[in-house]
Amino acid sequence: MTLSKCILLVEDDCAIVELVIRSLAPQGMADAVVPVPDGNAALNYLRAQGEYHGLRPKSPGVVLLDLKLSGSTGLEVLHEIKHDPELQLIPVVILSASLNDREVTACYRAGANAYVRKPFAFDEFRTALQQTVLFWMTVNLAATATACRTPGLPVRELPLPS
Amino acid sequence: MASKRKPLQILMIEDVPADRTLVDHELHRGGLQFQATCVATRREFLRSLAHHPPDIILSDHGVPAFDGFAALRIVRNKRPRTPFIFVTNNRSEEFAVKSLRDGAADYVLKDRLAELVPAVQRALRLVAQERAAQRQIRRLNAALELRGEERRAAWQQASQEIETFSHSVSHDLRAPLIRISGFAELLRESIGPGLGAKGRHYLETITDSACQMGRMLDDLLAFSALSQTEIHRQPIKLAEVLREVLADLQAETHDRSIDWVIGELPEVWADPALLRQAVGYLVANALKYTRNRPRTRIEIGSRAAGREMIFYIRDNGAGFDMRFAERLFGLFERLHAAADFEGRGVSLAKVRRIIARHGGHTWAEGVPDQGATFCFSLPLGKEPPDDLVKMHPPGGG
Repeated sequence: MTLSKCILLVEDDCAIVELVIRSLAPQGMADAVVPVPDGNAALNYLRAQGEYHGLRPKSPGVVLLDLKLSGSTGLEVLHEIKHDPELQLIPVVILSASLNDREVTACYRAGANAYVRKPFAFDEFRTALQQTVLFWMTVNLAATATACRTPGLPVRELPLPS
Repeated sequence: MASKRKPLQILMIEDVPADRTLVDHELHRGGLQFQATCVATRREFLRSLAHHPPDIILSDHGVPAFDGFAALRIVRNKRPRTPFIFVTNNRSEEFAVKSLRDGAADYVLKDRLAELVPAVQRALRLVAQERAAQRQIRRLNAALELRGEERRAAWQQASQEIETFSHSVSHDLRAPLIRISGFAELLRESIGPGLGAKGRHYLETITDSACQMGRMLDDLLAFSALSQTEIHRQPIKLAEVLREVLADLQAETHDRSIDWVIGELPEVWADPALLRQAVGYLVANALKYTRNRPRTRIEIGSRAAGREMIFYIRDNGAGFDMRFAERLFGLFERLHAAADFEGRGVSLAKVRRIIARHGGHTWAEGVPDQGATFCFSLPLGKEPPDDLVKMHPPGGG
């Protein structure tokens, strides 16, 4: 499968990155995965700044965002993306090992488009990843930024959990 | 000359002026600083009681327009702390008993008025002592309240720590599990057919163990969530709960021959979702351990025991040795081999926790290979036993 857009994977655990790539290989989507290790790198990629300045990186069809990152937390990165008029239309899927009701709610309030818990059995993990990425990359019809540039998505201001 | 102390306010019920003068004289003679108001009718009495609350009331018992006992009743009702002394000619024992029983502080005979001042002083001393005791009680209550606050704060802190711990368990411990099972699977796929039976067995054991640990972590989290979750009590019909539970277990029961013996089940105050969970676990448990019986018999019912309701579910299944009766309710405890009856030893621990959160108890009786009876109690009525529900420690099972 050739995809015009990439899958931005924000994950600091390189073993998990490898498992995600291997999970998507059977669908031919492994090449589309762009792994970044933290929130800062993710925002630099999305804004084509810092280490990505002038590289004109492929725009992502979906961001897979781990919550537990070094530096800014996944929730903070999510806030940043959803408050940026240039980025807020990009679908963000939270990929988390945790299943904490409060955290799930906080993510949706901050504008997450989906929340997927990483199953610990690998066959389930692989299926979850494949289904998620297939949906966002091929089934879902993404909004285009040019058609809706003005008023920002009304995202409720909520205190970040400490 | 007005002394610095406020004069004693005395309300007298007396219609004979001579008697009043005598009483006045006696009080002066006894050295009391006082102001007396004298009334002879109910209306005057009520008005005086309301507008000039007296420190003490001296009452003749036989004022024509107003009975002394009626006055006493009014005082006990409106100003229960104000001492009331009969000053009377009545020497009958019956009168003495009735006056004290109705709450008079004392009674003094008019021909022995020398006893009046000591009686007044005694009554006032008692009042002062009672006031002091009340103050002491208020102080102790305040101290208790403070300790309650401290306990609540400690409880809140403990809850917060559990929350943090749960979060860490659910996230930090799961990530390595995902890696273990993921790479074991990738290893199996990359070696492929070259992997012998032994190698496959090794890898399967790794994968299964990782999955088992993952499930245990999930169970642990679900279990600890039971201590955290808020309980929303409302009246629910246990029979209704059981009906829902049985409907949910239809898949398990439809092709088995089961004699259900279902008795009276009352209405209880409980959290509907949690109670349904508990009853569901108990019924599923009975179904599981009877499934090798040619004919299953499950009895469910309840009985009242004082201010509690006891729910029971009796089966004719595999039963258990009473020596292990308490272990049944421990988290991850299993009395039967996994090969005979699958399970992770979680549901009964959850039942115990749910019932404990409602202020009830859980216990079981069994005979190996004969069957088991599981019981729980729930307090009847709306008011939860506050301390039990609030102070139930988050840890123990």
